[in-house]
Amino acid sequence: MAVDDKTDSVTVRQRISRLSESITNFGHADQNNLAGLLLLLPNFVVFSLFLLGPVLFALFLSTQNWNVFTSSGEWAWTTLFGVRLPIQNYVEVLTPWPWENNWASLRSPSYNLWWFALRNTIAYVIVVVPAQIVGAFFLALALDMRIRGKKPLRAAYFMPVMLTSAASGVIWRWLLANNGVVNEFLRPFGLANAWANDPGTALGSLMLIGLWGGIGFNMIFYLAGLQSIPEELYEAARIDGATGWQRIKEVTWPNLRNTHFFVIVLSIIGTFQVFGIALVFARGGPYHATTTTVVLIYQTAFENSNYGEGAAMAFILFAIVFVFSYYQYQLNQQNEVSY
Amino acid sequence: MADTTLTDVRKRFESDGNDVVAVDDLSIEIKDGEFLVLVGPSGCGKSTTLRLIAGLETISDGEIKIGDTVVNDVKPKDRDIAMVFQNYALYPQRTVRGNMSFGLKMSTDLPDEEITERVEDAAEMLSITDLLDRRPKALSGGQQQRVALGRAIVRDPEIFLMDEPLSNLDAKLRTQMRTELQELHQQLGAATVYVTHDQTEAMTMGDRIAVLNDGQLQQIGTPLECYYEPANQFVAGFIGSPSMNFIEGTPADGELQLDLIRYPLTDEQQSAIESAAASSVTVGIRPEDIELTDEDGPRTMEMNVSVVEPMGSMNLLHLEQDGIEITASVTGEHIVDEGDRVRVRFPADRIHAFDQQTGTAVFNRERSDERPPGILSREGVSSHGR
Amino acid sequence: MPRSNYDYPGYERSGTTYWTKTTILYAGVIGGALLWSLPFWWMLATSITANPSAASIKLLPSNPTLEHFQTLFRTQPIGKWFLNTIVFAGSVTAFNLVFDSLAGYALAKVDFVGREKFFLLFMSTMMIPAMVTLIPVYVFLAELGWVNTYQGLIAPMIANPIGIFLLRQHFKGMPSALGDAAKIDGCNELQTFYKVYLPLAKPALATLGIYTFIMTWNNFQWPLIISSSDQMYTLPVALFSVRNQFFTEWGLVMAAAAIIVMPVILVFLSAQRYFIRGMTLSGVKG
Repeated sequence: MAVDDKTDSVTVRQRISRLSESITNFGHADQNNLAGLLLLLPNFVVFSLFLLGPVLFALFLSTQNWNVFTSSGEWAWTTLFGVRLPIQNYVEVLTPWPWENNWASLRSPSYNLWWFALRNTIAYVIVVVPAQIVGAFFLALALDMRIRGKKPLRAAYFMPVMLTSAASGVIWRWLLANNGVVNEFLRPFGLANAWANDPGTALGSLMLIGLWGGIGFNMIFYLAGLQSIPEELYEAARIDGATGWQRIKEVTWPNLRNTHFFVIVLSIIGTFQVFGIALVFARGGPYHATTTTVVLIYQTAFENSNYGEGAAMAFILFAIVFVFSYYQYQLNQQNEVSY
Repeated sequence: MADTTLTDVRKRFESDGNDVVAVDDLSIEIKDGEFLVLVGPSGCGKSTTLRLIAGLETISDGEIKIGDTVVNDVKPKDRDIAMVFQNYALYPQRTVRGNMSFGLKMSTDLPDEEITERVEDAAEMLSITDLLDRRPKALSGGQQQRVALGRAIVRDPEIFLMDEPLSNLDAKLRTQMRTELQELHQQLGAATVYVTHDQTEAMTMGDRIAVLNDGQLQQIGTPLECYYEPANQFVAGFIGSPSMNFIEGTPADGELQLDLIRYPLTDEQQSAIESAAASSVTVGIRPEDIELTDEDGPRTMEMNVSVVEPMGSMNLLHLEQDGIEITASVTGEHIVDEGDRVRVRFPADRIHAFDQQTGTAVFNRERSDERPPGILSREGVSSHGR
Repeated sequence: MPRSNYDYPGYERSGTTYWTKTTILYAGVIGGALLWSLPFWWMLATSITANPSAASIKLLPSNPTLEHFQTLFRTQPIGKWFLNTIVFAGSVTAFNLVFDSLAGYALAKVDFVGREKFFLLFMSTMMIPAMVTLIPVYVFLAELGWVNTYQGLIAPMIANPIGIFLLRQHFKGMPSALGDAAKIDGCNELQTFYKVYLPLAKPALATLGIYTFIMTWNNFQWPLIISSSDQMYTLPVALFSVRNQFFTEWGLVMAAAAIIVMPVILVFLSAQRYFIRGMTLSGVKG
């Protein structure tokens, strides 16, 4: 119908003009573009040079056999499904696949160090993260009760977080040495062990160090979260007849959902990238028992000068951790918006 | 079902040298089935009193009885009370049904079927039956408040305690909920203690209101009693909006010297002042009781209109003269302009007087028994009592 | 309205159950705290014991000796290590404070095109694991000849999304009316920033400063990568090197650990709340 045709074409025309407007218009009149961009410039430069640019460069590196002395590289070619791609580094890292040879790479580091290291890391994460979180929750609960000396107690539990990983690694290496304190204490019970030298116990020792150093961190977040639960919820529960444990179950735990998410994501990201303590405690040994993913990447790139392969590993790590990092990013945005 | 009594209740909060007496020798009797409103400015001790009845604070001195039992040391869950909080205080991970049945499951031995029945009856009373399986996150403020009410109703307590439950709702919802609460109260019949700082809420909802200030009971009575016969200057100034005008004066020879005016007193007013032995007096008159008049007379005064606030049905006039500033509210039909000079009359039967030293009322205004035209029949005593 | 948390009817403040529960609670928490701090004490005790082996160590050694510290000071460039670490942590903190307050202010208070997109871009870098950028950055710095130099050590650490996040949040919380008043009074954007808003940001700057300083001081990964001679080590890397060099001489190693750890602990104890606030606001694991 004639009338409809006319209105249709008007709206289409309007849409086109609006679109071209938005492309040519640079914001609106009372914006202060120059000032804003200038203030941002120093950070933008360092970010581009040292964060954003490098990601792309790392991608490039991972396709190269890089020679750091000549600062040049050549494409690392390989053929996959008949297609010639520069992904030789990735192939080196990922093959043989973990399931080959009856999952041998998960049992011994000689088949494929990457999968072995990944196994170590995942085991570490699976043990340390829940222990850190549950432990921190109960610690925070205990400290939140009307206890005298809360400040020094809190400082005591938090102090290990203040140490550089080198210090933690070194101190515990001494504590767990063959002639160290822990063995001294356990010898009468016949439980003395070569904690750091026994491939069977080295990773476990690392987990202990991780727990010791990380629990205080989560505890702080839980303490903050506990403050934010309104007293009225506990009062209503009291009127309803809930006992102490029930109040923890019905009021405290469910009202900390935000803190739980936050702390879990943070813990996973952090523990996945465990490096310092692993390197300092046992230099990745014995027999790669404490070689975690980042330790492996470090050794590949900086001790063996194999930058291409190191970059490839780093990207694979990136892919694995990305889901959790993205979660953390989302959480930050949400918290920010809710102001 | 019996009365709840507070006798000489005292609550002192200790904190590093600065003790705060939040409730000071309070004695109140809450009759079975009545709706008592605790009202007063912030910090007057009304919420603390409510929490003492609930058992969320220990009493420093005195006695609280619910029914015949002294409950000073009884835990909240054993006191047969139910409480509605200002911020709803719902369990976030439980459904509405779960929220409402939790208390019953925890502190009574009722069989599941009966619990479900009670929950569903309460839900129907509050029109939230279709929300029973939702979580508090998915509910609006008003809905959450209903759930909080439902949680209290299913307990079937001796006494309901409500701590400013409507303060977090927007104005329109608040007026709606006010009427609903009153209807609920009629239906349930249990005694309710309701805390608010809003004197309009107090006046409209209470069978009786208790006005508190600084932890002390100022007056307890029906809303109209507090309005017409305030026990002291505080109550007079607190109840009623816009608030009462106060002018200081000294009694002299059967008259009051109010600055430059001499105001003649009636014989009764004169004898009241003498028996109270009041050397100085504050006169109070409500804005709505001030009249504009043409006739000169002993109880009139000329004043300047400084500001006019037209409110539609009435005009609020701010008048001043020789340092005396008062507010008068006259019907909106009268057109008064700023800068006008008007003559106002303070009718003799409309003024109150308060002892300047103690604040106690010396005499109050008359209350009329007039029946307005148009009442065809009257069904017993109205809930607001005369 | 005053409220007492543990003082309600029916709550027994005496009696066996109460005291048993309280004792268990205190014992547990205090015991745990002692256990948690034991490694520190052992480190200190070992560092002043002559020939440390587990059997001979007590918490309060009978013949304390400073020989380990003396050996260290004699044979190792401890002064240089301290200097490197202070320069590293100090410069990174200073640069961060300046850059991030400028950026934070711009992102919070200046209306310019693409502002929110820039913010998202900066924040998205938090998702990148450190190793992904450290390898290419090293290669890049190697080309520039900045390996094993101060500039190589410091430069990459300046890009820090946490600081931007923290300061932007802080500036956002300040009323825009202040800036409007300043503009009416004739200030341009930069003057509004440093005469009006920056002075108000002192607590946030203190928080960010202390947090960044401690985190940078403790940074092990990057200094390890970028330094190739022991003159360039920062304290954490130096500790690693001492450990490798003097592996079984635990007295020496613990003395080194003590030297490195004590400053941080002292700073932390005096500025605890700043650090914790920085942590909770930025939400990043150290």
